[in-house]
Amino acid sequence: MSARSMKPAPFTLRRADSVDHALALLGDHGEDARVLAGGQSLMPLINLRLSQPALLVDLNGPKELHYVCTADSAVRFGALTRQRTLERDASTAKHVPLLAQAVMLVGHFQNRNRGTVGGSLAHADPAAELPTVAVALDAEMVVRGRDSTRTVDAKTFFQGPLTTALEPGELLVEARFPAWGRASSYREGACTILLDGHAVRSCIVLAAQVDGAEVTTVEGLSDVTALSEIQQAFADNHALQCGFCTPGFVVSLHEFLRDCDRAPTSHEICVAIGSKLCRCTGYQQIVEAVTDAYAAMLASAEVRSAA
Amino acid sequence: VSVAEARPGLLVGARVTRAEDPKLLTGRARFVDDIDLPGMLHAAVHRSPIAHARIRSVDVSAALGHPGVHAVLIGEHLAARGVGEMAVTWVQPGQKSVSYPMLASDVVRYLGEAVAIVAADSRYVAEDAAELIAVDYEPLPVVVDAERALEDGAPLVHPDWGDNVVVQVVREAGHVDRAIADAPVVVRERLKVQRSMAVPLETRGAVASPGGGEGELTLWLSNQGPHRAKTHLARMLRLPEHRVRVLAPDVGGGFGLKDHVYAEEVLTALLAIDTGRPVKWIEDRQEHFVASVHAREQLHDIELAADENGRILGVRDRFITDAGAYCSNVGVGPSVTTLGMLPGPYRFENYRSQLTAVVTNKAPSGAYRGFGQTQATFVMERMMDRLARRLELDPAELRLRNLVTPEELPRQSPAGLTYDSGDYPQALRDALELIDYDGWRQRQRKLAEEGRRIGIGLGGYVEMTGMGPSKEMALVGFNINGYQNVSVWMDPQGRVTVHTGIASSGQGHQTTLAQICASELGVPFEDVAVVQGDTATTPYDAAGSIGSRTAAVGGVAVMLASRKVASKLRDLAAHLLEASPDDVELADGRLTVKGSPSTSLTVREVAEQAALAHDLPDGMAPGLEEREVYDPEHLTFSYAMHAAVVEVDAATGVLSILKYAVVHDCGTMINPSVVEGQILGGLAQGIGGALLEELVYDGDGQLLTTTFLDYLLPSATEVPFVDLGHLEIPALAVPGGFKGTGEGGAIAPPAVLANAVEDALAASGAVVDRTPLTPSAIWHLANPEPAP
Repeated sequence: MSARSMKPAPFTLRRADSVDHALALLGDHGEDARVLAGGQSLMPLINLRLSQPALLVDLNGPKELHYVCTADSAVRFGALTRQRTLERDASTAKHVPLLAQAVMLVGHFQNRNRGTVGGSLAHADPAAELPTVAVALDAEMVVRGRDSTRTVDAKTFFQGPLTTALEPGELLVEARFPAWGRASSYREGACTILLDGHAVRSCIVLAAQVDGAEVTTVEGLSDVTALSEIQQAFADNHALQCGFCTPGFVVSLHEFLRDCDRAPTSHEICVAIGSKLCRCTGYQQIVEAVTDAYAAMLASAEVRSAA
Repeated sequence: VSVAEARPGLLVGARVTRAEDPKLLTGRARFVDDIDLPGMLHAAVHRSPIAHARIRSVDVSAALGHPGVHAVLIGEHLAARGVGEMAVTWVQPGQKSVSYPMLASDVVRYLGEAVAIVAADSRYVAEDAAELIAVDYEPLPVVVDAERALEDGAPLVHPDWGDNVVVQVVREAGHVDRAIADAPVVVRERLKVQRSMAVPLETRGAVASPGGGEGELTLWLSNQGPHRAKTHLARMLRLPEHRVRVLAPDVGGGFGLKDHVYAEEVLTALLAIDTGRPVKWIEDRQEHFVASVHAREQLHDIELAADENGRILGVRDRFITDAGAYCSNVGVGPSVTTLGMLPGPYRFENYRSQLTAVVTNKAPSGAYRGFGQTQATFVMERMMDRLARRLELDPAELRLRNLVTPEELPRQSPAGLTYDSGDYPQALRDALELIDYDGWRQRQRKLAEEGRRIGIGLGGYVEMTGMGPSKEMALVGFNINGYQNVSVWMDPQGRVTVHTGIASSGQGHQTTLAQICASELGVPFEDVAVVQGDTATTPYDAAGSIGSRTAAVGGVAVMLASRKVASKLRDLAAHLLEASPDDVELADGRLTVKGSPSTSLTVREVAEQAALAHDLPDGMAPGLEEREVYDPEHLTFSYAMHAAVVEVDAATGVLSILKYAVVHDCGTMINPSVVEGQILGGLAQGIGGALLEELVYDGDGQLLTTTFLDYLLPSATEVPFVDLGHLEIPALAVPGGFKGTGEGGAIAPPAVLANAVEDALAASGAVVDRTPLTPSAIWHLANPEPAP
């Protein structure tokens, strides 16, 4: 990625094999270490040098914190559960509907493909959706240290902007939202790529983290002579002007349209591209292009037909 | 909807798919940051972390000693070489700020002001080194608020001036004091337009490469006017201009912000000269917020006088604009434009507006789409609604009584500008119909009984476009040309290349200019290429793509040059066919003798002969290349009427836009889809300015909005779908009838939405006196604190 978006101060990246390993690394390095979960908040700060940790402990490897389950009248989220998983989880929609609605407002779906439940809570941005909902619903946070585990209620956990009750060496491992129970963050998203088929913002994913993964950029969506249905629909609808944001739109819409099982409404398209920024077009033509692209993809049987 | 009669050909007016799209859609565009040269170094800037301070010392030794660092520049170095100042292009008589330092050396005057620049092996190393530069700052008192800056005893940004006033400018006509004293009705308001900025998604950037020869330099720049950049760069660096080449590759949006040449760009060039290696500098988003030009901040005290029937008798206005710590490249030009365009589409004689431009410890203010006209429209259209409420007149009716009619055009406005053509009342009537104005007025009353707060807002403007006659640039103090310079060349295959000095930043010039050329020459659209954005291969035009001028000036130049080529084609075909030139027709790729369809040649056959020059008529020069330097006789004025229906939730302050309609007229449309793209895109920016965007400084001059988390741009969920209506009344004095349309969409929305919000909250007596109308601002308007 270009110097435009990634120019952090030097740091060491350690990939944790397990939660115990992560806790050991955190215990050894104290305040010099930061946990890297989805990276949607931390990586921009590091890129802008507003945060300069000496050690990043990457938690994305171990699978033990990726889970959603219901127990003791609470929906429990492993800290590394992607927000996109939560968004699509039936038990969350049923038992914690406010959370299910709020998560749709977190960035755009590229952010949610990568962003985690625990990462957002531990970052404690007062403008973020998940901490607000956690406080409103009296959620509980399960916090592990090297030798101990404690449970903290949300009102105690959040101490102020970007400040939580987590001590150095501690890790948020689970969030429990009682069963049954707006703000937005915008980033431009012009750098979107597909990582193993899912849209993510490349400017906040470290190269070391994609070792072995399949990366698709806009150049990989069509050959030079034939535009894809999405690209053609953008041209036909004048859905681009300067074109700087366009590859990001095209790539993320590739995932969006692939996953549509019926023609998306204008509102659904707006939500899907919401908080993705285009400064030239005013979006109307983009929405029209997406509608056209769906029809074209259906016609060429690239989209699952309702029939 | 009337259609231009003198439409030159079918391609002009057609919704042609854009020629530039395939590369942009497939990741094959080339923006500045895509340029990668062998041995290239990377630059990073050390910026002031405080708003106002004396620099006691700058220690660069640690940075210079850092591995991988090749050069560090500070202000002292520049002064020693006599190159440290950037000139202001637009200068008013008596203006105190006419240049600004590339690097602060004695005093920093705003947060983010550049103090040093580093070139290193990578951007990472350059950033590390920039952090190692030790600057000893002695803080000075800060002045952030423009009104406070005028008070006695306020901290002085430039102590040698004795005050904080950059310049005062007055525009006046008639006898406004008497008109106001005698008027039956006078409405007065204090209205504020917040500081915001253009925020193109591609930030600024430069790549500089020294050439082999003395003084040779090539600079790739994300910029709207490469020729102007070249002239400036050569002047700032004392280089011979003919050795300097500037290229604007694909540019990711400009909106006025990249009209300017900036210090970092000149410094990047200087680093390349010093190190003998290419150097790249790409602005990051935080730098963009602190160091690219801000815009629009104005505070008006305005009075509007009328008779009992609502006929406007006069407008008296005084306003302050906050220029920031220095005038930017365009000086106080945007506010001078406010003075010129404040009267809008309305008929009145007595006018005075007085501008006081003030310096503060904030970033320099400059160009942003609308260029002062957004503020002018906000102020004038707010006053129209205030007057309507005072007189209990329907705001649409009040406007219809005061709009200049088509029969009155051309007409000189009280600000001295001659509006050329149009039908302002028709535009308003069409807009009212598009939103179902009468229906919504009824629904508004009915829904009010259910406690729902519906508001209807109207607003219109006249927009100065097609800048402009060069001699008029001189009259307003803008040290820039107003002509457009193009060449049109038909090659031996009969294909055409247009070379133009303008540079697109997304508007689609490769498409629209090719449409004009192909129309004139009767060749397919695909047979025309447009070359732009390179000073070495395109004719000189220092104005570039600013001020909604590309269609109305550049388009005309292309049209006239193409006509010369067509004429020469006919002359040569007549010679080859042994006919009279007057009898030869050019259409659909053929030159045919009238009345003798079989006597014809293809364009390609004639073009081949022109290039070979084996058999030319006496006196005809070989080849088919024609030049046109078109300097317009007059400005031309676009206009539009906007109308919106909104609903305000008094409990949350959330605004929903239920309907939004625009009826506009930019004369003859070259490509309606491109026109609509300009309007809808501008509108989204206008909505951002109306509802979300504000650059907020705290009392210490710290900018609090330096990321997209704090400075909110509108997204698809905030921007409504728009009903668009076109009028198409040709420009009066522009061949082809084109008017400009690049800025218009951004001009009206703050006025329209402010009017709509005030209308929705009329029951609570709210007065909307500023933007942005954030949920918090609307909530406070809807829930006023009870009087003590």
